[in-house]
Amino acid sequence: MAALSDVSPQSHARRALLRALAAAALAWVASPGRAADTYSAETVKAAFLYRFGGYVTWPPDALKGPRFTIAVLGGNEVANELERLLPQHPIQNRPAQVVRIRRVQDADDAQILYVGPGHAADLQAIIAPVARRPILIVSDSEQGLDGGSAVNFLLVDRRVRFEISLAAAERSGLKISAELLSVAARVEGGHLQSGARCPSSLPYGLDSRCQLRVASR
Amino acid sequence: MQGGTRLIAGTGLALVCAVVVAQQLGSADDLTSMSLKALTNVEVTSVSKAAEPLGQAPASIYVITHEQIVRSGAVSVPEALRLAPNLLVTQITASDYQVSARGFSYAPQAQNYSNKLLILIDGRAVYNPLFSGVYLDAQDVVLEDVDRIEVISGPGATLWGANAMNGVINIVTRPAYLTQDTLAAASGGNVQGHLEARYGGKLDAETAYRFYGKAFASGAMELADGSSAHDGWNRGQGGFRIDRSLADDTFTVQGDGYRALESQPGGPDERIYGANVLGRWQHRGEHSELQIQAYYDFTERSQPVGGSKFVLHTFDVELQQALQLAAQDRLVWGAGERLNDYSITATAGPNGLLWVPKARNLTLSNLFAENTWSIVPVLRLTTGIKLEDDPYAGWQFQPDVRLAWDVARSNLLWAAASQAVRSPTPFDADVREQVGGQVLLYGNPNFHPERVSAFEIGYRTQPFAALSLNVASFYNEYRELRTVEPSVPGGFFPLTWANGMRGHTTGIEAWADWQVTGWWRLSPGIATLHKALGFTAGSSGILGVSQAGDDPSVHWTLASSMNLPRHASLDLSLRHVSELPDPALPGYDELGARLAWHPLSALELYLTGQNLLHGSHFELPAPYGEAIRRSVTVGFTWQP
Repeated sequence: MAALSDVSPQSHARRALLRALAAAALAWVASPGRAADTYSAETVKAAFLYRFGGYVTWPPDALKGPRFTIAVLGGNEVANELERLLPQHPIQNRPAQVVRIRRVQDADDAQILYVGPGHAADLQAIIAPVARRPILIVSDSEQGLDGGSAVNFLLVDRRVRFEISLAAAERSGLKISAELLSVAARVEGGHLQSGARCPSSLPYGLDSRCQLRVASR
Repeated sequence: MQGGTRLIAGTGLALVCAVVVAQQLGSADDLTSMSLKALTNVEVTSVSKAAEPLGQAPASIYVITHEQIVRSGAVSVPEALRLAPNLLVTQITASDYQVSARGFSYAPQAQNYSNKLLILIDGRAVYNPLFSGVYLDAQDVVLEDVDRIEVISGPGATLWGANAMNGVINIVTRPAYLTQDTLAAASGGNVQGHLEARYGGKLDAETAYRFYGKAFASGAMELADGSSAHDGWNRGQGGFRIDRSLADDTFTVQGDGYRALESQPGGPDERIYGANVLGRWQHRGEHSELQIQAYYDFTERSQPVGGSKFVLHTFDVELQQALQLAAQDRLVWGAGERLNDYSITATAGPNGLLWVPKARNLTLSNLFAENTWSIVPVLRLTTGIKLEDDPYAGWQFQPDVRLAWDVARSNLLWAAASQAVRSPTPFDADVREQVGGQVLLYGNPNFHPERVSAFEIGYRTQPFAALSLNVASFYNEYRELRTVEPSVPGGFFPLTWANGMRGHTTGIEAWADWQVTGWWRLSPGIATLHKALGFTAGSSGILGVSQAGDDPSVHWTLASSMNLPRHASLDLSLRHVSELPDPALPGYDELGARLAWHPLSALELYLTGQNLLHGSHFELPAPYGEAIRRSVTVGFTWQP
């Protein structure tokens, strides 16, 4: 008590302020976060893959099976997220499932195929066998659309965005809703194209002059 | 009292734990009920570097990503270039930075600026053809709009042309459709501050645009005695970019205008003005791709004291075509024409620079072809040549041979041999420097291009997903490097330029990216340089070999990027530059740091520190360089 009595009001006030600040800092650190707080990019990509199912029209033949399948090639974390998500979330009025595949041929019965970023270099070769199947092919690499995918994920300003190739969707016999197109970062035009495209196979250095397909992190 | 101490200690501990423990992340379940639009706006935590677009390129390339630039706290181009371990960035004064790769940075006693490195901003060369070198104080971009900066060390002349002798820097901004948000940002601190705004939108489904304004101001640095160097400066810039992308065609039109005022001790400000506009058309065909680009660039610099001034208009048009000749064979060829129309007003009075002639049109034509052939699927051979008709030296041949071998998946071994030149300029050929009414130095109309033959070998590997490694080494043989010589043999004044130096340099560049955990990335990088230069017979060697550049033998960086809980992030970057030989400067270490917090997903608040280890430090000794002050800045970026 004696010690308290010789404390000046000034230092008392300072201590009170310090204590309040400390308490605020503690509260800031310790309080549970809001639900929609921070997500990994893979979580958001999984959510998109699930949502794509509602904005794409498949030809009737492609939806004959009892289940809606998302095949994942080289994207373990995205597959993990989908495994948690899909059991409670049907797509196109069917129970949905995720299958992890090692060869693209195993995606033949899937409605959506996600090809992870590790396959950027040889994307075109990888998806060629299923390019004309009614499968929404979603890639995740800098020049993904050049490889022939219909949707490609981008990371722009810490947000997961995507670009759409209408040509590739058309080739697979899929229709993409206007609503999905409207939120795409970019939509590539409608007629069929093939062959040499921008940068992936240009010799070194030239890529940067060729900015039509500049994807972003 | 005790309770308070305990509470504070506890808070500290909790903070430390929070930093150490990986973040709590939300699950995809929370996102399923969101609107699509809202989903595209969910912020994600990622310190990982996306797969490098140039990962297969047989050259020493470091790509500075958008994320790295934003997280570094840089507000100007040279500060952003510090992120590349294969570049040496030296701050001389408040506004003057010299950037070099593989040596030849700056030799103030011989007025030899860093002149063997080419810089392009969205395909527009900003290398100054009058003095050779880059005025970085005249170049700026909104760094949030930059997609990436590709830094290629080693010759890039076959594709990029003369002066890409030791490297090329490509600053690539995002197309307008990826900058559709409004952005407002401001910062202020004890040394520098900035203010910027960008607005993006769509004209129709295929056409997007953005326009921006940016202002930057820096206080003065210090002289050796601690007094002000009176070299504070400010600049303002505005510009736009429009991109129209159709199925087979892409059109881009972009332009900028700027002005800057730089304080001079005891006199009126130095003034810089400039504007440029660029148009580009790209057409994709079945097995080919065509690009046509044209630009106009105006830049002016004037010093009211003495009245010296230069005005430069550049007109440039380029065409290039990429052809897939066969499945394993790809050819790129192109041609270009550039006109530099300049006029230089001499400094009045007995001391100064005269130019004879003082105005001229320089035309530069070029033709190049480069072929990449996959001998077998894992082995690619690239051969190319550039023919360039230089206004001073006539036709120059700049060939290049590169071999890339995919040793295994994610393992690339490459080797290259190439030749490149640094073109003569009016400063080499036409200048007359006077002191006290007497000519001190005459330009040399017979000055030859400086030449390099470069031999490189490199390896790039990603042993596991979280780690990538790059190493490259080079042996460069230089001929015809510029020297200062007496114009009369055996005499002294007046001096003149000559091509009296030759020799070689060797060095290693290495860097790594290590994703330690999901929220922490470490990036070390190092560059070494050994120079063995000497004078040719007949050269006086009066200024010594250091007139070719005052270079450290090693510089390294260590960068750390952390995502903290609660939308906070901490970035640190330590750099070391070893001693400079002549003029001599002891080696130094410096530290940059940035702590950022996103209270809302649209808002970022940050605290940035640069050069934190010393109250001030020299990167070039006095009187050539000034003491660069420690800088602390607070700021925000708002991007709804």
